[in-house]
Amino acid sequence: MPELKLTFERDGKTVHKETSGFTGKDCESVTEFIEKALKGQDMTRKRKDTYYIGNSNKQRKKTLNSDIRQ
Amino acid sequence: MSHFLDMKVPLTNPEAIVNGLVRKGVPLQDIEVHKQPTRLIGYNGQDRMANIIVRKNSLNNCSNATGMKSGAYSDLGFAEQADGTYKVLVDDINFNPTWVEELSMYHNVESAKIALDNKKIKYVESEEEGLPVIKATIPNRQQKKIAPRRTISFS
Repeated sequence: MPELKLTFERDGKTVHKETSGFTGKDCESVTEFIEKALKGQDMTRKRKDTYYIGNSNKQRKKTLNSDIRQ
Repeated sequence: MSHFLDMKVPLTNPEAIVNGLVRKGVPLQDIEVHKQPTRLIGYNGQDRMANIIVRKNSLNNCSNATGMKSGAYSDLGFAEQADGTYKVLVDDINFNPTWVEELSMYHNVESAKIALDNKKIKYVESEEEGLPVIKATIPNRQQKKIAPRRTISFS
Protein backbone atom coordinates (compact mmCIF):
# COMPACT_ATOMS: atom_id res chain seq x y z
CA MET A 1 0.00 0.00 0.00
CA PRO A 2 1.42 3.46 -0.88
CA GLU A 3 2.64 5.29 2.20
CA LEU A 4 3.53 8.84 3.10
CA LYS A 5 5.78 9.55 6.07
CA LEU A 6 6.34 13.04 7.47
CA THR A 7 8.99 13.78 10.08
CA PHE A 8 8.98 17.16 11.82
CA GLU A 9 12.26 18.66 12.99
CA ARG A 10 12.50 20.45 16.33
CA ASP A 11 13.80 23.64 14.62
CA GLY A 12 10.15 24.33 13.74
CA LYS A 13 10.94 24.81 10.06
CA THR A 14 12.14 21.58 8.50
CA VAL A 15 9.78 18.81 7.44
CA HIS A 16 10.99 15.60 5.78
CA LYS A 17 8.61 13.81 3.46
CA GLU A 18 9.16 10.21 2.37
CA THR A 19 6.95 8.20 0.06
CA SER A 20 7.04 4.49 -0.66
CA GLY A 21 5.05 1.80 -2.47
CA PHE A 22 3.64 4.00 -5.25
CA THR A 23 3.26 3.01 -8.86
CA GLY A 24 4.09 5.25 -11.81
CA LYS A 25 4.77 8.89 -11.05
CA ASP A 26 2.04 8.96 -8.40
CA CYS A 27 4.47 9.34 -5.52
CA GLU A 28 5.05 12.96 -6.48
CA SER A 29 1.66 14.00 -7.85
CA VAL A 30 -0.55 12.26 -5.26
CA THR A 31 1.36 13.63 -2.27
CA GLU A 32 1.95 17.12 -3.70
CA PHE A 33 -1.05 18.41 -1.70
CA ILE A 34 0.95 18.17 1.51
CA GLU A 35 3.68 20.46 0.13
CA LYS A 36 0.99 22.93 -0.95
CA ALA A 37 -0.87 22.73 2.39
CA LEU A 38 2.32 23.34 4.35
CA LYS A 39 3.41 25.99 1.82
CA GLY A 40 6.79 24.29 1.64
CA GLN A 41 9.78 26.36 0.60
CA ASP A 42 13.42 25.59 -0.35
CA MET A 43 12.44 22.07 -1.35
CA THR A 44 15.08 19.46 -2.02
CA ARG A 45 13.84 16.29 -3.70
CA LYS A 46 15.73 13.03 -3.86
CA ARG A 47 14.26 10.12 -5.77
CA LYS A 48 14.81 6.64 -4.44
CA ASP A 49 16.37 4.01 -6.69
CA THR A 50 12.95 2.38 -7.09
CA TYR A 51 11.64 5.62 -8.66
CA TYR A 52 13.58 4.93 -11.84
CA ILE A 53 12.65 1.28 -12.30
CA GLY A 54 9.40 1.97 -14.18
CA ASN A 55 10.83 4.95 -16.02
CA SER A 56 13.80 3.03 -17.29
CA ASN A 57 11.53 0.35 -18.74
CA LYS A 58 9.45 2.99 -20.54
CA GLN A 59 12.62 4.69 -21.70
CA ARG A 60 13.85 1.34 -22.95
CA LYS A 61 10.59 0.78 -24.90
CA LYS A 62 10.83 4.28 -26.43
CA THR A 63 14.38 3.62 -27.49
CA LEU A 64 13.38 0.26 -28.97
CA ASN A 65 10.48 1.83 -30.90
CA SER A 66 12.64 4.60 -32.29
CA ASP A 67 15.21 1.98 -33.27
CA ILE A 68 12.50 0.02 -35.11
CA ARG A 69 11.31 3.16 -36.97
CA GLN A 70 14.82 3.87 -38.21
CA MET B 1 8.33 4.61 -7.18
CA SER B 2 9.30 6.66 -4.21
CA HIS B 3 11.12 9.78 -3.18
CA PHE B 4 12.38 11.91 -0.30
CA LEU B 5 11.66 15.62 0.04
CA ASP B 6 12.97 18.16 2.55
CA MET B 7 11.18 21.49 2.88
CA LYS B 8 11.07 24.59 5.07
CA VAL B 9 7.62 25.41 6.42
CA PRO B 10 6.51 28.90 7.49
CA LEU B 11 3.70 29.66 9.98
CA THR B 12 0.67 30.01 7.73
CA ASN B 13 -2.29 28.17 9.23
CA PRO B 14 -4.10 30.01 12.10
CA GLU B 15 -6.00 26.85 13.13
CA ALA B 16 -2.71 24.95 13.35
CA ILE B 17 -1.13 27.77 15.39
CA VAL B 18 -4.00 27.54 17.90
CA ASN B 19 -3.74 23.72 18.02
CA GLY B 20 0.04 24.06 18.43
CA LEU B 21 -0.43 26.46 21.37
CA VAL B 22 -2.82 23.99 23.00
CA ARG B 23 -0.31 21.16 22.50
CA LYS B 24 2.30 23.35 24.22
CA GLY B 25 0.01 23.66 27.23
CA VAL B 26 -1.80 26.97 26.66
CA PRO B 27 -5.51 26.54 27.55
CA LEU B 28 -7.76 26.96 24.50
CA GLN B 29 -9.95 29.52 26.31
CA ASP B 30 -6.86 31.76 26.79
CA ILE B 31 -6.16 32.03 23.06
CA GLU B 32 -7.74 35.01 21.29
CA VAL B 33 -8.27 34.73 17.53
CA HIS B 34 -9.12 37.96 15.68
CA LYS B 35 -9.91 38.45 12.00
CA GLN B 36 -8.85 42.08 12.31
CA PRO B 37 -5.44 42.75 13.91
CA THR B 38 -5.94 43.60 17.57
CA ARG B 39 -3.71 45.43 20.03
CA LEU B 40 -1.36 43.47 22.21
CA ILE B 41 0.81 44.91 24.96
CA GLY B 42 4.53 44.44 24.44
CA TYR B 43 7.42 45.04 26.81
CA ASN B 44 7.25 48.38 28.67
CA GLY B 45 3.73 49.08 27.38
CA GLN B 46 4.69 49.18 23.69
CA ASP B 47 1.73 48.09 21.63
CA ARG B 48 1.63 45.95 18.52
CA MET B 49 -1.15 44.48 16.40
CA ALA B 50 -1.74 40.74 16.08
CA ASN B 51 -4.42 38.26 14.96
CA ILE B 52 -3.75 35.52 17.50
CA ILE B 53 -2.98 36.65 21.05
CA VAL B 54 -2.18 35.01 24.37
CA ARG B 55 -2.31 37.64 27.13
CA LYS B 56 0.47 38.17 29.64
CA ASN B 57 -1.73 36.99 32.54
CA SER B 58 -2.56 33.75 30.73
CA LEU B 59 1.12 33.15 30.00
CA ASN B 60 1.85 33.58 33.70
CA ASN B 61 -0.88 31.09 34.58
CA CYS B 62 0.67 28.49 32.29
CA SER B 63 4.34 29.33 32.92
CA ASN B 64 5.12 25.61 33.19
CA ALA B 65 3.95 25.23 29.62
CA THR B 66 5.89 28.22 28.31
CA GLY B 67 9.05 27.38 30.23
CA MET B 68 9.43 30.91 31.65
CA LYS B 69 11.34 31.08 34.92
CA SER B 70 9.72 34.34 36.05
CA GLY B 71 6.61 36.24 35.02
CA ALA B 72 5.87 37.33 31.45
CA TYR B 73 6.57 40.97 30.57
CA SER B 74 4.42 41.00 27.44
CA ASP B 75 1.58 39.36 25.55
CA LEU B 76 2.43 36.78 22.91
CA GLY B 77 1.05 37.43 19.44
CA PHE B 78 0.97 36.13 15.88
CA ALA B 79 0.48 38.80 13.22
CA GLU B 80 -0.63 37.93 9.70
CA GLN B 81 1.69 39.38 7.06
CA ALA B 82 0.86 40.46 3.49
CA ASP B 83 2.24 37.15 2.12
CA GLY B 84 -0.10 35.08 4.32
CA THR B 85 2.57 34.01 6.80
CA TYR B 86 2.35 34.75 10.53
CA LYS B 87 5.06 36.66 12.40
CA VAL B 88 5.64 35.79 16.06
CA LEU B 89 5.54 38.87 18.31
CA VAL B 90 7.23 38.29 21.62
CA ASP B 91 8.92 41.18 23.41
CA ASP B 92 10.00 39.22 26.39
CA ILE B 93 13.48 38.49 27.66
CA ASN B 94 12.05 35.68 29.76
CA PHE B 95 10.71 33.87 26.76
CA ASN B 96 12.49 30.68 25.79
CA PRO B 97 13.30 30.78 22.02
CA THR B 98 13.20 26.99 21.76
CA TRP B 99 9.59 27.18 22.97
CA VAL B 100 8.68 29.17 19.84
CA GLU B 101 10.57 26.64 17.67
CA GLU B 102 8.67 23.75 19.23
CA LEU B 103 5.43 25.63 18.80
CA SER B 104 6.28 26.05 15.09
CA MET B 105 7.03 22.32 14.90
CA TYR B 106 3.58 21.53 16.32
CA HIS B 107 2.05 24.06 13.89
CA ASN B 108 3.60 22.02 11.07
CA VAL B 109 2.29 18.75 12.53
CA GLU B 110 -1.21 20.20 12.94
CA SER B 111 -1.16 21.74 9.42
CA ALA B 112 -0.32 18.33 7.96
CA LYS B 113 -3.10 16.68 9.97
CA ILE B 114 -5.62 19.28 8.76
CA ALA B 115 -4.51 18.67 5.14
CA LEU B 116 -4.84 14.88 5.56
CA ASP B 117 -8.25 15.26 7.24
CA ASN B 118 -9.42 17.43 4.33
CA LYS B 119 -8.42 14.66 1.92
CA LYS B 120 -10.02 12.05 4.22
CA ILE B 121 -6.73 10.17 4.38
CA LYS B 122 -6.14 7.98 7.43
CA TYR B 123 -2.95 8.58 9.39
CA VAL B 124 -1.21 7.71 12.62
CA GLU B 125 0.88 10.18 14.61
CA SER B 126 3.77 8.81 16.63
CA GLU B 127 7.28 9.72 17.75
CA GLU B 128 10.59 8.53 16.35
CA GLU B 129 13.84 9.54 18.07
CA GLY B 130 11.95 12.25 19.94
CA LEU B 131 10.50 13.80 16.79
CA PRO B 132 6.82 13.79 15.78
CA VAL B 133 6.11 11.53 12.81
CA ILE B 134 2.94 11.12 10.75
CA LYS B 135 2.41 7.99 8.67
CA ALA B 136 -0.45 7.97 6.20
CA THR B 137 -1.71 5.34 3.80
CA ILE B 138 -2.47 6.97 0.48
CA PRO B 139 -4.96 5.50 -1.95
CA ASN B 140 -3.14 5.13 -5.27
CA ARG B 141 -5.41 6.68 -7.89
CA GLN B 142 -3.55 5.08 -10.76
CA GLN B 143 -3.69 1.62 -9.33
CA LYS B 144 -4.87 -0.57 -12.16
CA LYS B 145 -8.03 -2.57 -11.59
CA ILE B 146 -7.45 -6.24 -12.22
CA ALA B 147 -10.08 -7.68 -14.55
CA PRO B 148 -11.93 -10.70 -13.16
CA ARG B 149 -10.51 -13.93 -14.44
CA ARG B 150 -12.66 -15.64 -17.06
CA THR B 151 -13.37 -19.30 -16.78
CA ILE B 152 -13.40 -21.06 -20.06
CA SER B 153 -15.07 -24.39 -20.14
CA PHE B 154 -14.38 -26.94 -22.82
CA SER B 155 -17.13 -29.26 -23.86
